[in-house]
Amino acid sequence: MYREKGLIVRVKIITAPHKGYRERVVTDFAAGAAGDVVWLGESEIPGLVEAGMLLDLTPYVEKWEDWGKFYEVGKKLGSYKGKVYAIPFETAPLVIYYRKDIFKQAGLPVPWQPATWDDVVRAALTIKEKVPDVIPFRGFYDVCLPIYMAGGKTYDPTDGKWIDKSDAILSAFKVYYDVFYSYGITPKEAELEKWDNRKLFQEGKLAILIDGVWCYIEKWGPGMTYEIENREDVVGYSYIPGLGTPGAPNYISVTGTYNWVINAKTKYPELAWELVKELSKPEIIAQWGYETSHIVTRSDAVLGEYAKEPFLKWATTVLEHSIPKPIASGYKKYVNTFKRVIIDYLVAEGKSPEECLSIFVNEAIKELGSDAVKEV
Amino acid sequence: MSLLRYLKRYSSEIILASFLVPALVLLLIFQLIPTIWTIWFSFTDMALIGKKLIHPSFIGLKNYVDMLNDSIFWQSMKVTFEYCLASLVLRFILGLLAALYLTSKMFRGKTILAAIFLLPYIIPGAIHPYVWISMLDTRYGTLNRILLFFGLTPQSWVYKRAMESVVMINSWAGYALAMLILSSAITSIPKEFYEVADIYGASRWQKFSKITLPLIKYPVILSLVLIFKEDIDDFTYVYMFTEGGPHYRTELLSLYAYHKAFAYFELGYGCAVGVIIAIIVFVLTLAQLKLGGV
Repeated sequence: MYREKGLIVRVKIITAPHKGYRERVVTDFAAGAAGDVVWLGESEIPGLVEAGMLLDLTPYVEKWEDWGKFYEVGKKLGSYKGKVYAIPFETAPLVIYYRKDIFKQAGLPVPWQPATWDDVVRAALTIKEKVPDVIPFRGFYDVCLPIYMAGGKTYDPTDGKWIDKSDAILSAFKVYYDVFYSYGITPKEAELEKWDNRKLFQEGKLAILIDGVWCYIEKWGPGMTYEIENREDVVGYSYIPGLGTPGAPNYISVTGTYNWVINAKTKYPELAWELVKELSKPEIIAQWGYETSHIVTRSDAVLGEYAKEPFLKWATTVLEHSIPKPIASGYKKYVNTFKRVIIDYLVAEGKSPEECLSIFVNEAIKELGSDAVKEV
Repeated sequence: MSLLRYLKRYSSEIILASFLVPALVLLLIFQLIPTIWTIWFSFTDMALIGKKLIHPSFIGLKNYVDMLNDSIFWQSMKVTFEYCLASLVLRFILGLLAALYLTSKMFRGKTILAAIFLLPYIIPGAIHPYVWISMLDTRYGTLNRILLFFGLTPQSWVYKRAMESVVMINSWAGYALAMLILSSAITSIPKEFYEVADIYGASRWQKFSKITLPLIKYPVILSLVLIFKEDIDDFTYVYMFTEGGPHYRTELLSLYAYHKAFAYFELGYGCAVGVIIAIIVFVLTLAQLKLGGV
């Protein structure tokens, strides 16, 4: 619009490192020093909306015909209490990566698509037996993923409560217990000592890894930290299966987004919106997705180099099985509490799934408050 | 006395005092005002996001009372003292040894070694953990390879020995502070004292314990106070290396305050923890000075 009018608008770009970015952005907002248009992860949206820091974009997207082209999962992640506050720019679901060379060595089929979690365990056990020098399995990047694999939830948006006790949570603890103890397909030191999964995978010392789609290019791509020279030949990928129990999904993934939001205190909301629209053009999203191995957030952005890259083309289909992370205050506390119980009690001390569930209930109440949690 | 005469009489004092103004202004802006804000926030339920950012309530001592019942706070307090004590001993002893070495007449190549000794201190703290991560890796780390070479058991530095690891990094990075203070103090001791001691046949230990140590008493106290002050609000190594884990075993108070204020956005509570750190530093520094007779 402004371009047509011949109006020149200078945009000052401020960048910040990834580590500590979340804290930096929130502090900037609190101090009134945030920019007009801000790059923001979905988890900060509820808190900033409650503080009146984000501009309600609902009236803008209603008049924007491109909005219909955005994937639903991204739209959900950018919305809070029925209103749109963020335009999703990139999304990053989780997938299974596997080393084709190790699979062949173990006599496993390639390509491989496990139908249930049991298939993953069986493949890992075969690798453990046939290729003993290799770590068979590492998961799950998002600690809550096994809950979703069981068909469970972590948060109930209808009453705004976090779920601290459910069959799915117990199943998730069982999955972790199987991985580290019953089947021993992941050495517990790998978790406790934070072994670098992506490096192990690059070196061919790890067979199956659940991680984000960005690893394929951003970690193992040409010129990247853990470049795998013959990546296409040795790296396989597949959907994450459900647990195969009643109520569990066939395939599942969980994803978050980075979005463009507009500061509610901006003096130039219209101009900021024009900038967001400019930044959300399909060719920009596609180029960013190609360069960083993130999934595009709109259906018409599967174009150019992005569309030519077979992995990205496939990874875009993962969105069909992806659920959004909960958009609610307390998410970080919930996840950290769950993670702590897994690492400190289950992995480190070998506590049973039932014991872990009971510890988790107590810890969740302590961290989130008894009014904020419930059993289902 | 008229104002003009007053100004004339005290002109030199006024000029001298005016030199302090820039420093005082900076101190006021960057130290005093944030301190007052921190104390005020500690009596509120202010959050960095959500409704409590715009409408915080005055809650009196609630944050402090909650802290008394907060097991993680007490765990943090415990690990902070363990960390400070271990670091204090190691940093001081290493610093003293390095200072004695640099001021000794017995060794050569001290200028080059002084520069090498200073290196860890001048390298930015954020870099240290990255260097040490590769050193402390359980399977491929240099430290465990050295242990294996001597027939010792490799250690889980990142998990089981996380606290020892951060103390080690901190001591390596920070011993030069004591080294600098003590070496300059030792250099300033008149040589005649040692010459007289030599005439009377004093041993090296006697010269150290009867001459050096008493004469560097105040620099020793100063370095102990400064090391303690640096360590009690230390943040970088645990933030970069362990993030407080495993199981809060390296969750220093400063990191706990940071996590509360900036990870969970509970600014009021985080500020209250910060105030407690300040009180501890104040009280213990006073105690150290009192014990040292300063």
